[in-house]
Amino acid sequence: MKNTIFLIRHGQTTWNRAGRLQGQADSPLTLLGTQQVEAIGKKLKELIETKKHCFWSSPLGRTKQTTSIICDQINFNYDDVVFDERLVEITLGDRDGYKSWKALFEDFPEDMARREKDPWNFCHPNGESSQMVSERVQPFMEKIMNLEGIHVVVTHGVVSKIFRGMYLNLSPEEIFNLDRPQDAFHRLQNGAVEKIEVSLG
Amino acid sequence: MKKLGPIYLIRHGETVWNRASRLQGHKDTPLTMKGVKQAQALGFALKDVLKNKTPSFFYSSPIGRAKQTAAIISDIIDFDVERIEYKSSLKEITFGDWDGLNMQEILTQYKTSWEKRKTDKWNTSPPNGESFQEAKKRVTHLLDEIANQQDVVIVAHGSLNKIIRGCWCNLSEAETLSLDEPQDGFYCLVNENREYFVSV
Repeated sequence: MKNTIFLIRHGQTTWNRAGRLQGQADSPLTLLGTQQVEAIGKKLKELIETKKHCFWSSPLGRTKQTTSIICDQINFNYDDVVFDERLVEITLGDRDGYKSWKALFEDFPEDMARREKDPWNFCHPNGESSQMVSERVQPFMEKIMNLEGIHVVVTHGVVSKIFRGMYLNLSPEEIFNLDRPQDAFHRLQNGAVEKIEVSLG
Repeated sequence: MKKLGPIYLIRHGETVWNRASRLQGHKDTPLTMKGVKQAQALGFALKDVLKNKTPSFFYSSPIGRAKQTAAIISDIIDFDVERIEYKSSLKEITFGDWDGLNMQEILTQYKTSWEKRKTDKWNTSPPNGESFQEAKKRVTHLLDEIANQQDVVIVAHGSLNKIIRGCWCNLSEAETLSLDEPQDGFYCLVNENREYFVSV
């Protein structure tokens, strides 16, 4: 099946900048975030030319903002975007919106020690584990892998890593080591993942 | 009541539904590319007007499109985004059952209530929505609070900003309803019940 997936993380948000953990909570894009997304959209337009494509997005606020900007850059009708719940970010449950990673280690040392032992299956109270995320992302990935053509997917840091990890059959450890840039996106094609950097004009 | 000002009254940038001529009310869609550019331009125009002053307060509607606009503007004027205060009284008027619809859909599905509202737009609310009168009531408290504050930034919505300008300038209901709702500039509300427009 000839298939290309452009996997894009949302631009920088105010909580990204402040080091706060978003999960399924949300904050708006910063000025830099809008510039990152504009640059990604411009680059994407060069790569997909006028070929027909599908557009999938997480329905959270920051990904909707990102999707709207990219749609305008590549002349795709926002009304034709499919918002799929399976693309939302991993939730940290009770800890969504927590002020920083460091604070998590300070305030919940037992939880974080548990995480250390088995990070792939660890979840915060009422949260999701990476395993749980992979279980919801996998059927989505299978679905679009079976659809020929070009797919634009706008999602989140952790989901993007797990998505690429499954595409490349990586181990949990390797997945944790993947990057989640906001000034670049990834092209998944012929079983390989290529990072495409953009420069902010 | 004495009013000081200046209050910098800003509407969010163009959204997907603004472009499609759909009423948003309490529903929400993200800014378009044009809307993001407008928000950036509004930020730079505000920075010019402020010179080197820092706003004493920055209030925003908590609805997505306003938060998105406020975040961009605060970055440009170097105002700490964490200090923005989100006020539910600054939410747009809700058009109730009409939120999300375009004119044609309203006229097809709600012709009777549309015609009824037209006869007294100020006092009549759309089905399950809010009238201008009701929205004015909820925003008055905030206006009283900020009347004596200086260099206040407000990011809110088309209809709601009209109500705020009407209150500030002591306009009649009819005059208030006939005000514009620009996205390519903002209003400065200044003392003696005056306002002026800053275009970008």
